[in-house]
Amino acid sequence: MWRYQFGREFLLGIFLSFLAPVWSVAQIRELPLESLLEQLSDSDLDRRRDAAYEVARRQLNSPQVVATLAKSLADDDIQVRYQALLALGRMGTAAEPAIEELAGCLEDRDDQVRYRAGYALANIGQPSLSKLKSLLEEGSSRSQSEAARALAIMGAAARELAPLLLPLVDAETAEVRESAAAALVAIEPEQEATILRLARHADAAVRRQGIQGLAAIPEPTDEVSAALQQTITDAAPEIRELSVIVLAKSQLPEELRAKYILAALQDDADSVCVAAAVAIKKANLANAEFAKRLAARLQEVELPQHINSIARALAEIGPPAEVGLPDLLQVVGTAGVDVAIVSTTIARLGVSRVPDLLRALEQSPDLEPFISAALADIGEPAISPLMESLTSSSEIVRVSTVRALGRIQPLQDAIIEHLIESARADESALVRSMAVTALTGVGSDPRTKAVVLQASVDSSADVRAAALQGLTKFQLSPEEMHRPVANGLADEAEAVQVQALNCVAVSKDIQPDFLQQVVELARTGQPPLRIAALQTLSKYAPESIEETTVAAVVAGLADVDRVIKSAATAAAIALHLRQTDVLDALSANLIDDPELLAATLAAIADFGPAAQELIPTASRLCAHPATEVRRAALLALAAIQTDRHALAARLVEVLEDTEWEVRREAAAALGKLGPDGKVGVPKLFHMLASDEDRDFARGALRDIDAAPVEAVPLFMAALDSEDRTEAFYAIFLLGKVGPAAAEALPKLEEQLNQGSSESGRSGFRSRFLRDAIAAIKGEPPSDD
Amino acid sequence: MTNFAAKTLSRRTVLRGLGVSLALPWLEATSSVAQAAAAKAPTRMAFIFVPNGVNLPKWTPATEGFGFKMPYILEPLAPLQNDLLVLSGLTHDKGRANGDGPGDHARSASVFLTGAQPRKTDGENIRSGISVDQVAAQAVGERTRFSSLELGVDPGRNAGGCDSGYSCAYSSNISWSSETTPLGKEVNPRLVFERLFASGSRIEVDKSQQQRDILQKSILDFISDDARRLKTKLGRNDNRKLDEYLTGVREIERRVGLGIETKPVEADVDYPIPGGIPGDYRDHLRLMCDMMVLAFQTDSTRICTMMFANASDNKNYRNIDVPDGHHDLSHHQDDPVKLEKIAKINRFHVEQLRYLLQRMKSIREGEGTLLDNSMVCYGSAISDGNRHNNENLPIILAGGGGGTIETGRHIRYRTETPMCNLFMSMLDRMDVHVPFMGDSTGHLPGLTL
Repeated sequence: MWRYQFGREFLLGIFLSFLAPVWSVAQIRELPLESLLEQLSDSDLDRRRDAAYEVARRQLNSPQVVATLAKSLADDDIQVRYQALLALGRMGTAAEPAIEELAGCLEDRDDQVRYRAGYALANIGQPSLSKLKSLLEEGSSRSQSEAARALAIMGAAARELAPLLLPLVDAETAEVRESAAAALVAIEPEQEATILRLARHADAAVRRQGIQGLAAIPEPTDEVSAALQQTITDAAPEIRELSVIVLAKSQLPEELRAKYILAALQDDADSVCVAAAVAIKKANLANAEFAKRLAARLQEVELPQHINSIARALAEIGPPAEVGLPDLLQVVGTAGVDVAIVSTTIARLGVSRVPDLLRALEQSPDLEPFISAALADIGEPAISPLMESLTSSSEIVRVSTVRALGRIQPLQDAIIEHLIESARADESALVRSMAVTALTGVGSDPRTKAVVLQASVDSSADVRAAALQGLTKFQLSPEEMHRPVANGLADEAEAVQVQALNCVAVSKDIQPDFLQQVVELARTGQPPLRIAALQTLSKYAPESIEETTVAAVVAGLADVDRVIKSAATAAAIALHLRQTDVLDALSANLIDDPELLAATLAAIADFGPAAQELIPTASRLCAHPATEVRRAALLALAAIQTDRHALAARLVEVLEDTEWEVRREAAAALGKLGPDGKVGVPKLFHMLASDEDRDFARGALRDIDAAPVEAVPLFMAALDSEDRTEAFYAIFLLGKVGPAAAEALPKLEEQLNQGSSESGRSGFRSRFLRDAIAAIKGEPPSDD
Repeated sequence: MTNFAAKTLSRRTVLRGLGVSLALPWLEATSSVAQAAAAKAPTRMAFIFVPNGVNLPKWTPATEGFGFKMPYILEPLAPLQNDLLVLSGLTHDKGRANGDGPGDHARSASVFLTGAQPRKTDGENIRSGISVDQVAAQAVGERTRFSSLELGVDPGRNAGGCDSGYSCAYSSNISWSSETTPLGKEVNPRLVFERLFASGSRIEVDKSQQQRDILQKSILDFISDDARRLKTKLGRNDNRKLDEYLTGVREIERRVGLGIETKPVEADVDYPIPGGIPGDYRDHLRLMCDMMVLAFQTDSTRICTMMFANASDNKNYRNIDVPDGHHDLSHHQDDPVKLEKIAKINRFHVEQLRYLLQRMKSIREGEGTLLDNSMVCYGSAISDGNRHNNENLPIILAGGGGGTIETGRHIRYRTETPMCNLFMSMLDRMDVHVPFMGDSTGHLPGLTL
């Protein structure tokens, strides 16, 4: 019995280890202040963190606490620094003795440390102004920017430093300019002259601050008002977007607000046009009167984007803009008008005018796409008039009606009945095919299934094609599916045959019955049929294919038509074809078309070492101008090259590729080589410095699990790196070099003795160091 | 039209019956005629977490500012484009390892609303930070019946390890009332419904529930007298609103299986399903969304969080032809087929968001809608599930924040802008002013023009 295999002490130890965390939380809450502050300088990181969190939680502010926390601002660990800043920031003026240390934090690499330090300085108030002043005058651009942000938090209390902020608005660094502008608006929001200067600045980010400052002035003077109005012609579209919204919400007379919105609706930038439409409600102009002006404008504009823009504006107004509907219908035929925007507008404006829309359609069949989409958008209120119009004498009205009814989801029973009637009996083949398509969206309903099966033998090819296209949406048995598909494949109309092939592609159960017919169409059909047939073949199970299938694919690969070649290549990959004649045909397709090249290389990779003859070609294509080709080429090379050292050498070259995804594939391929890929380690190590490459470089380094002795100096130089990832991997890789890295031992042992733990959890780095030292000394790794 | 019949009602008026009380939605009569013009509906905030990141190229709009084209995943939100912001460039730095090694998924959930580096532990000494919803709840929560609601669909554990040495508490919760206290979420819509409407002593509540179960009664049967009396005091508009509201409550009640026969459900999950939980994931999500709307509509709470799934969830999505596990797929290694499936899952989640937002938009409050008076922050704390990166997060902020947010835009922020800066700006709009939130470095500019 397992119970007797362990001693009582062992089991007690296990029990106590479960209690330990609970105990430690309870203990820290009870700890006297002296001990808590002492713990803030403990060598164990977890204990320092616990103490920092607890000090912050208790919200203490004695001089002793301030002095200790000020020291903690220099802690290596960012979480300790955060908590110390949090505690100091809450103290207000009591944190004054820590001003110097807080100011030092404004240079920290971490944004949050800088912000929290700025907040603490702002919260100290008047006593910190002198330090902030010196930073504005003599600090680095980072300090200047952070000091400005701190002053912005202080607001009016920082007024005496405003003159120092003004020149910083013209500083070289964009961040300083923007921070200074924001601070000026926060400190002296009433200083019109200053804010006007910001609003006219050359830097758009500063202008934005100024414009928002101007907009916030409660009683604007004429000069402020004029300056605001000028912003509508700003060179930057993002400022014009801001401008039209600000003007719409301003206290300008209604006529002026309307004028600027109308102007912005004809802006060159689409984003400004949309902003203008959104601004209508903000300007309290969402009424019939303004809609009439927009409608009149519709007759004047010529460019389709301006018609779209005005249509969008009418939609924003909604039903009160119904007066604009006739004008809109007159211009929607203009080439380039956006169907989605205009049909949405027609739907919003035409809820109560469905019969009018149908009449307009009868007179102008060109409106069909707009009106059928709009009718579907109207939904429920349109159903009754639409069902009546199914008997209209106008074919275009019936087409539009069927299309619209089919899009109203979920389809109600009454609609289904009407659509069934149209699918069976309408004299127009177009209407019947539309009705069949609409009905196939209903799903497995016995009524619709019967209608669609019947439609598969309709006199019109369009209807037959629509029926076959819809068949796959029903849960048909192989027996039910067989006849319409057999008819379809033998149909005289190509569109019907293509749909029948699609049925075979998605219905696994009937595939064996039609293999020969599909192969025949792949070999002898017209190009669209050959493509569809090859695509269908690629859906077959590889074990079900026959010799004739291979021949059809090879013929496709050898065809002159690029699309047929691509379909055949996809089939070769899907069916895992490994025949020599397939490889020969693929090799002949290693030509200039990048898309085909990439697909062909992927197919060749499947052959593995059997495609060795193509190694030089694949290697050459690793330098192809097209990214997808380079990626496919290196994957092919990795699959077919059996000389692992030669492969590693080429992959290292590919690590220099300009595209991230190619570099990543090369790194992954090197990783798969394991220790044989160690020639790539120095390059991968350098890639750790790149945000883009770091993740995959780390993965590859771990997978290779070895490092070359030549890289020892590189790793040693990185041991002191500020970049934690780099320093960690330097230790790790020195260990992987093993005894040949003996020259690194003194440095590693020195770091271990220092007990440095700047890289995160206590002991984590030390463990790495111990393991590396042990590996270099040829000892077994440590147990922990 | 002037509502002559209207009399002033207290905002706290409720319809009472045995063991139940039904709070009212926003009605014109809840403010006096003089106050009507100035009456302002409260601002609400909601946070929705989705796991495993997204297919970012199919999420991110190509252009910035107004008038951007909705990419594939966001297409379902096209009818609501002018009611939301797509925010790019936000980062959760504390979701990164920062020396703590693997465990990205657990960190992603715990950091989502806290912005704090979780302590790596699978013991009881968990530590994260106070989440933004709880910062708000602790400041303004006393104004409503519930300070906040925490909803979800997947049960979670608070003990044991779930991800590379991280406690399950980190993976299963996004709300933290203190650095050491995660708030468990409610996954049973029936229990949420009961919680929203139960009232009186325990005996009354139990009796009411029994009667409804046994006699197939609706909660509305218990408050019908009160409702009739109230209707005589309301004008036409308010009467219509009240009818719509009561019908909505009845419909939700029917769907959570209260007062009607519940059908046994079969679900493809590895935990037992308690009564009241729909077997279909989509239905479950939608019911929980309805609960959120109901809670907001009746001002039962102004703060709500919801997890569409737990961190590193590996649910399959057969309903949209994705039979693979979500988490497995997220390690896509740029396989186009897997990426396509991830995009479908992401779009499915967005469709549920659309459902929520449309429900909120359909509820009128004064001159605007519930959505106009809300802020719904939706997203993931992982950007790409394959890279497990925490920058450039997929985030949507929907709703007008009570007229303080200029929606309809795609805003791209500078790389490494803390997500917590968004939370600071949201807290401001809830009238909650704090110096920091998680790893914030200020407020998020540009939400207002």
